[in-house]
Amino acid sequence: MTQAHSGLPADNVVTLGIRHRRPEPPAEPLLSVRNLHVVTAQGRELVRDVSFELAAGGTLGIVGESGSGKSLTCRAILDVLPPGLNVASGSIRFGDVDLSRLDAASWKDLRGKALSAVFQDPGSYLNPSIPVGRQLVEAIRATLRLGRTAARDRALELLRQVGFEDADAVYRQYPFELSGGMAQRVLIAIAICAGPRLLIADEATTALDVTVQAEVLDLIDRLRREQALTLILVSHDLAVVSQICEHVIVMRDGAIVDAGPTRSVLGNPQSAYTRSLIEDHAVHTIDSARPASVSGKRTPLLAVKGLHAGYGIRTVIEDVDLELAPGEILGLIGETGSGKTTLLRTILGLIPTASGTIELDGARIDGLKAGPLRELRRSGTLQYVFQDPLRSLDPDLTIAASVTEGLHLRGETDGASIAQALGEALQAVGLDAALASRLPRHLSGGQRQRAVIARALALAPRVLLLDEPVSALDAVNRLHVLKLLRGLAQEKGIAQVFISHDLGSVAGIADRVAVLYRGRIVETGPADQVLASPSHPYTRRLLAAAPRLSAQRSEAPAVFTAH
Amino acid sequence: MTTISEPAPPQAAPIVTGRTIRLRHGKALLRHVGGTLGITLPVFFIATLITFLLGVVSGLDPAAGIAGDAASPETVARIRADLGLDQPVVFQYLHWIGGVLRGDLGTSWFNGVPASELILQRLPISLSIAGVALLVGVVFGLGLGLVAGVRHGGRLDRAITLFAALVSSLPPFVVAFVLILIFSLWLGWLPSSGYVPFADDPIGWLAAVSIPAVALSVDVVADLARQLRTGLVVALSENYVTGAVVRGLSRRRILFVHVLRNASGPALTVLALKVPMLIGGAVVTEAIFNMPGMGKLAADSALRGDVPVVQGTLVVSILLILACNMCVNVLLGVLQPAARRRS
Repeated sequence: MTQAHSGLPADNVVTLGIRHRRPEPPAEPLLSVRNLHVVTAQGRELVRDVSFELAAGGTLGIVGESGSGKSLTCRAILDVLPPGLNVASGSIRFGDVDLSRLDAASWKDLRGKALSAVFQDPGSYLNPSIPVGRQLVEAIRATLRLGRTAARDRALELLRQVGFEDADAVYRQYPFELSGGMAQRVLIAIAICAGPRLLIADEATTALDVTVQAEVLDLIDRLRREQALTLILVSHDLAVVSQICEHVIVMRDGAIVDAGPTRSVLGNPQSAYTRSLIEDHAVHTIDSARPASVSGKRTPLLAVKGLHAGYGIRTVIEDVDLELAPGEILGLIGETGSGKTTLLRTILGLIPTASGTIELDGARIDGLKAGPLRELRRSGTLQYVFQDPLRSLDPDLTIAASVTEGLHLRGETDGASIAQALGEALQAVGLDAALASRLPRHLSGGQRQRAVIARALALAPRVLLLDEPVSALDAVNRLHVLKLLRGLAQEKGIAQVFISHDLGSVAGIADRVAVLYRGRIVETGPADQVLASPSHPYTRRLLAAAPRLSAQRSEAPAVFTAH
Repeated sequence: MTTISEPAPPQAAPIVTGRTIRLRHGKALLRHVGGTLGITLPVFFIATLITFLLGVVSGLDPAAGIAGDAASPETVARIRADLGLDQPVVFQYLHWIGGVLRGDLGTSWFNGVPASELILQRLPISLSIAGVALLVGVVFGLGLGLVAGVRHGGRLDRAITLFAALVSSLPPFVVAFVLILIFSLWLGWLPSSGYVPFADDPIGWLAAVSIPAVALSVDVVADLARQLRTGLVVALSENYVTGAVVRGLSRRRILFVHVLRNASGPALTVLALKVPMLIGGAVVTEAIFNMPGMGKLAADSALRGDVPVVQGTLVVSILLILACNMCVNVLLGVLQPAARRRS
């Protein structure tokens, strides 16, 4: 157990014995990055002195929040840095080739064949105007001199290999006809078509549903094993990386702050930042304890009964019953397309109900028209927080103007009381009053999300509908916002419906959980009970798919014998 | 390969085969073509109605002219009745549009020759000028735009952008005078006026047409180059370009197969907008170069008050413009199915 204290020396001690059998070092590193610096045209360093080695067949995870330089490092390896950015110094060796001084012709021989990559937002990495099959064939023919029919056969085989049963159909589809997970599978098929040695997956599963994320990660891991791929997996999510990678690098502000075998980094983090990442995860992983629950024995503030709703003739919400007591937080989970957002928008009156009732404090609010509807909206009893904070704030209004707009609309004219309401709202969300005079684009993601919540709070709502309020935030900000919402429920008695695809967040904040699947609520109950022992198979699948820190999983056999 | 560890259907959708997808795409394309037609037809009828009403509100009465100065009011009324001018405007329009659809544009009030015959005589000249101008505009516009877009930010790009800004601020007749000055008066290479039919002497035809066509095309070159440059700069920064680079595709292939297709939208739209300018510009250019084209026919007929001929030239122009717009619209739909889907 002693070697668990520090990763690297222990590594050396253990490998000494092996060196007797194999005189040379374990393996010539396939990829070796030395003192890499990436700078902007203005000379600002975005990646500072990054060095690492990756042996053939190894798996390396790079973790960090957005802007930490993890993606830039990968793009520097692939020589596809955004315009204006350059590798200022350092070397990148791939096998026995120095990638940092390579001409275009040699790059063409490497890319796609030896080196390949998949990225975040897979749909955008396919040409929108060409069916995906033709793009796959094109990649195959660019790398493996194959004839038309042979390339087509290979393409169909690859599509089946990445899990498409209807490869024939997918072959002919345009990128816009595929879901995110399907597009990522196609890109993976393209990436592995020539049997590359190194695959870089840069946030390849970010923004996919948990279940889809698990499938794609599974696919990457399976292909890695089958084809002896060396893998670099980049993610902002420590849990995703820890599931697959043997080694991990933690980056912050362009520099490596922690590195080593995954287990030792998780078990014995060297930097405060890594510790905070792990702790944040611990607070809202599923296994953790939920904040003290409020008893649900009160009259419901919001009651939905037998609700059907949809767009046009398409029914999205079917027979949904919900009750929400004052001060209660209801977590709503389910994959994309399950109707979570539609349900919230229907409660808000943005989508007409087909049948069923919605009651707020005993009064029907479904089917309200013109005058009464406007009155309800101006009262601010029911407030909504949208998913993307930047796009839900008017870019030309200061934060103060956005937050107080509802008060003005309500007809309040007293400047002093409006200023007081603004101050209280900002204070409640922990936003510095000095930021009130700024425009949304001058705020960070976390500050914007707080501003959006402050806007809702200024109207003294009784019910808050929150659509993925934390999914755009990194771990640190997510925790702050979750604590804030929890506090609002407990101190001000604001009832909340909370949508998140991050089950950890839901587990950390919700009193009760409702699981939505294809427009129906398939399971509902106290959060700890549903998440600990789900009864519906879909809930079980959803929970199984959620990434967890593997340190917790491997806590018991954590005796580091030999890597 | 039986490597699929878990069945994990990517999407629990009903069985879809390649055939159904192909059928679906075919239907979408048909719908797109149908939609384009559905817009074009009403535009045609509204435009021809306006054309017809122009003749009505002009207040010109052919009967008085035909009958002569000494005619009695009864004779004039009889001639009016013969020409159908005593009918309500709606019937007159229906009668006229019925003729137009059958290819009958009426007869000249001036010399009794069918308007369609007059127009057919002149049309090749105008089409020669507008067609060559279009060709020159497309070739040079796309060429310069391509170079500027690929080299964006570079010296060549700045030179092309400057050239385009300069040139598009010059009216065609100014360009025409400069070209006449240089190529006709100083160098003496090209004639400054007149027209030779293509069938008689292809070289002479080209010589006669080239100055007016180039003068007209300058504006098209500038606008196409700028639009294509902007489209390319945007498309080149898209993720799928990075993806294609990483896949190991050649620069040439990425540019011509992937980028150009998605970047050409604004340029094609501008091209469709430029066609009326070319046809309208032909009037001025034909006057300068003293060519007996359709523009000159329209201008002369308008001065003479020959309403059916003016209407006829307008109808032909409308048809040409709508046909070009339809072609561009269908082409856009074929090139960019994603854009088609949004509309």
